[in-house]
Amino acid sequence: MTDAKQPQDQTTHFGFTQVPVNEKADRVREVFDSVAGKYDVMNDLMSMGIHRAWKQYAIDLAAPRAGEQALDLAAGTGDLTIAMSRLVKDQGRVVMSDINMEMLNQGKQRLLNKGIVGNVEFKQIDAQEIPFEDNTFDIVTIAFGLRNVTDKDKALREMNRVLRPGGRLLVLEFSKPVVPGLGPIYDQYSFKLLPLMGRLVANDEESYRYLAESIRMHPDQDTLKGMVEEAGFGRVQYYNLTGGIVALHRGYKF
Amino acid sequence: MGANPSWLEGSPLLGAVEIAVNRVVKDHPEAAEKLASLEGRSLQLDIRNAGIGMRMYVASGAIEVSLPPQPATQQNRPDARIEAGVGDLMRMAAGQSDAVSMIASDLRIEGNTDVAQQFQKLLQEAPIDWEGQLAKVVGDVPAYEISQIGKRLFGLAQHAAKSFFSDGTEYLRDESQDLAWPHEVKEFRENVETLRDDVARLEARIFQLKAKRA
Repeated sequence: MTDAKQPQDQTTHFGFTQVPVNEKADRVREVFDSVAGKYDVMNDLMSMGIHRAWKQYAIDLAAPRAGEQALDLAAGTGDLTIAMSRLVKDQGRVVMSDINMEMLNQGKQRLLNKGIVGNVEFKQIDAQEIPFEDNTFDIVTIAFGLRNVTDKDKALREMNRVLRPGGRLLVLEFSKPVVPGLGPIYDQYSFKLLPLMGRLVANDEESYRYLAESIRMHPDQDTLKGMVEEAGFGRVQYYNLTGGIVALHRGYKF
Repeated sequence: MGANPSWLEGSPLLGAVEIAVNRVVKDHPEAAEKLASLEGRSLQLDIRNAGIGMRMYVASGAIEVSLPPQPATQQNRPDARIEAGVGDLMRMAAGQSDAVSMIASDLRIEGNTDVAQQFQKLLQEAPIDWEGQLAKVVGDVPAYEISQIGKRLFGLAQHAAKSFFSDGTEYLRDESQDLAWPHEVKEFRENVETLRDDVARLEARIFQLKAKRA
């Protein structure tokens, strides 16, 4: 994720901390190297299993069809890849990717154990430099990954470039609670309970503190919608899930 | 129609409606065929009493459900727009959207009426099993119970709507005589056809007379 074009003196956020732009990718990589082994357990624990419903909703709105080509960015351990590979069937293809090799290997192992082979490719990809031709995919998904990307605008433009006209982008990401009264409860949960769970289950309090902080630094629903539109997508809309704790943005390439 | 209520902005409900509609269309080949003929077309449904507007757009063989784009411009106008009160929608759901009831309703169609009718037929051919869709989210037993409550409520509302419109239609036919009975409409139509044939014959005779004089 290192971006050599960024001037050395520019900084970006890494959670609540400002770090040189060129360092963010390495810092994020360290976090995910650390959590990769317990990623699925922690996801279930932190979200009380609701992340499965969020992902299913994203898949239902992506509505992959037989024969389609899909790119799953920041795929983690492959929840979206697994669902899409079943729907695009043998004549379709899903590229499962992550910038973090450790995460990608975890995901690859998981898919192999489930017997999902044939229409899935595995590739280490930086969302800011997607190594595919223009107009390659029908669907691009990125679930809980965009907030870790250093240059989000650049990544969104890349996603637009590799989509075919009419193709759809789905961004599933933590967002800003919209239900009155939910914000303070969510804050307590994020800054007190999350790091505690990280310490007890994954023996890694700092990584889960970063998770909570990075969520707060991520653009809210309307800001992200504007960014997706700015990247060239049309008919962009978002859906608040669990009171806006998570939002799904969908846009189409014209 | 004014802006939608703020709670609808970003609501997952729109996505849930889209998912349900597309699942059902996919399971009904006739509906899927109709959908293909609507590719690139859009319909806006404005529910007058509730102040809710919804846009349906057909792209890549699927229906996309969204809020109407704001601000409304010439470029983002839908192909057709149906503005209806809750009562009109209930009548449509009760299968009473024939010509006579349409006249009695407050339903307003703008734009391409053919597109509006095609959307209507499409949704009639793909009836949504809300219980089945709900079961995927909350499980079979709660879904059955919720849907039974829903059906009872909807049944009551439907019955009320039927009675209301049935009584209303009788009033318009018998008391105010603003509406005709079906046999009167049939008789009128036959008379129009006879008149049309007579005019055609008369035209032919005039043509023959003109030819003879020439």
